[in-house]
Amino acid sequence: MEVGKFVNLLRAGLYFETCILKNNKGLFIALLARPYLVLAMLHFLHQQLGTATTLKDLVLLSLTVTGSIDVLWDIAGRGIILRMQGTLPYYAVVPEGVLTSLTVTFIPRYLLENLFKTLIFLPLLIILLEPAMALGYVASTYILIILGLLPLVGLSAFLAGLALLTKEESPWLEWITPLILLASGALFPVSVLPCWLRAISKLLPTTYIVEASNLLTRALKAKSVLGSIIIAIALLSIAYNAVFSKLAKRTEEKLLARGV
Amino acid sequence: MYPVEVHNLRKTYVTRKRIGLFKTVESRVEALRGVSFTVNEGEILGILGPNGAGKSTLVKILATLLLPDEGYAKILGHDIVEERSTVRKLIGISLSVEKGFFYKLTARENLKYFGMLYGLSGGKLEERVSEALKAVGLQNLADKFYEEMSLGMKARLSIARSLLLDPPVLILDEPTLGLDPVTSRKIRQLLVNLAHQKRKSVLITTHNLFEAELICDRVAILSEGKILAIDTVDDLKKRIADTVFIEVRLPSVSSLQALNLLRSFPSSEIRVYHKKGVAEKIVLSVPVSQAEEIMEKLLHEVKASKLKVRSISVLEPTLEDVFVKLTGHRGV
Repeated sequence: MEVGKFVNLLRAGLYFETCILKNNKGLFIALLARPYLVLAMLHFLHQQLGTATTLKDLVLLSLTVTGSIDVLWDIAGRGIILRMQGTLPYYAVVPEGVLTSLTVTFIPRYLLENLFKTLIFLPLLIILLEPAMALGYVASTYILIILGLLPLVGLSAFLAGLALLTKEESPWLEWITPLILLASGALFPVSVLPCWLRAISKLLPTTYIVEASNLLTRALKAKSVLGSIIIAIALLSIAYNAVFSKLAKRTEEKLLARGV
Repeated sequence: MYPVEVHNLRKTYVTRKRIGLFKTVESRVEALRGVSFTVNEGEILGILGPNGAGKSTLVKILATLLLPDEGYAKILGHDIVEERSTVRKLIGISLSVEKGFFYKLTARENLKYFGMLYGLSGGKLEERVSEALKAVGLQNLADKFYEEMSLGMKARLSIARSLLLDPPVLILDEPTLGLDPVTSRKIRQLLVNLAHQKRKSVLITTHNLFEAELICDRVAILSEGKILAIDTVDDLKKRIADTVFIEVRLPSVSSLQALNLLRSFPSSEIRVYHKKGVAEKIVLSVPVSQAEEIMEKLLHEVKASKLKVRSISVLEPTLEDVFVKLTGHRGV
């Protein structure tokens, strides 16, 4: 896809999100409340499990869970909502195609939402850490969330295509969300999972995102590995996107054969 | 080169229904069975057909939202499958008058967003949005939220979106469905202006025979996936010029009584129009050669049976008559 067209779609997505947030105050409040709810749930789970994860680490995990991994079903869910709303055909007549327009216009929402979600933790982190460290932590976390998106773009488009192809009225991906979170190590460390689930977790790209967030937590203590993580995510992005963007194109053809 | 050229389009939907845990049954529905036509520049072509005739399938294929199984369609010489991206810049579509926008965005915000999606930006975007709003008469309601709009405003906004890129071809699926007569008239006038003044090629599907007769330069009658006839309304009517219609208007009589009376007449078809379960109008289609004789006999019979009659008149064929004759359906 040409850079100009890509930027156009990003701009469209940004315009849409700013309009939506401007016109929906309730949505904005819910957006800010959700990370704290996820944090509370993770805190409770880890207390029950007796793991030695600190609240600060859980903040990062909570943001990663509500951020980068969410994108997988957020785009698919959005596709289904747009279909019910009757707006999907108008995305499908965008010259770049339905899955590309759906995915690229979602990126600004992802960036904006996660910026707000990350900033909402700043007061808590200032209490837990020093202000300068808290700011650094928030910035690093946001960078990780952005990096976390990169490997998942192609996969998200592919999953959105599958969700639309199955013509379900609710995103079936939502049904398997808890399982993906569990197998990815987002709720409990992968090491405590049974063998068969650990095997599945190795196949899930989300596992590596969670692992990267864990590594980052450690990297913030030992900054030397931060570069390696970025390189690893970049490589992961190239590999995943190469495979899944091709699969997404095929899915789009099948979608067109059935009708958008 | 025609703005729209459709040749032998075919589309079959294949669905699988699950029977039990492991068994599925395949069902095939032939939605289009070799449809061909063209649309000229500055022309409104109406696609008329009963439910399930294949109108929506045809619109979706032309809008590049569905792939045909066979045949081809071209928009200004560009193939809708092979040159999909180019075709998408040449068409404006409206698929529904009551949905297709974001409820929490205003009319202007909605149009700006879709304009950006379609590649417009900067001053050009502002200009096109303003022009589209003006074209449909919504410039004063541009800052109204979509959720607060009436159906008529939504319908106009849908047409405004189809005009964003100022495309030479418009594909509109039932643009006046569910609208009140005043709004419908405004939309019809708008479509006529777009076709005849702005020289756009407009393809509309409609259930409304009156509308088709009023604004379409040509009409294609689609039934069970096939085009049965395509011509101007006048020429279509000439096809049944050997038939006249005798309309009997009744004040209040059961359909049975009315039918009993009229059954003996040599009519090729009897149509009974009901209102609240009571026949209020009966139309007989009769050969021109026998019209006078039948009329006399009918007057005599009505008098003899003491049936109360409001009026008896001879009517020229309408598009509905053509439609009924060709499709065998009483209404669209």
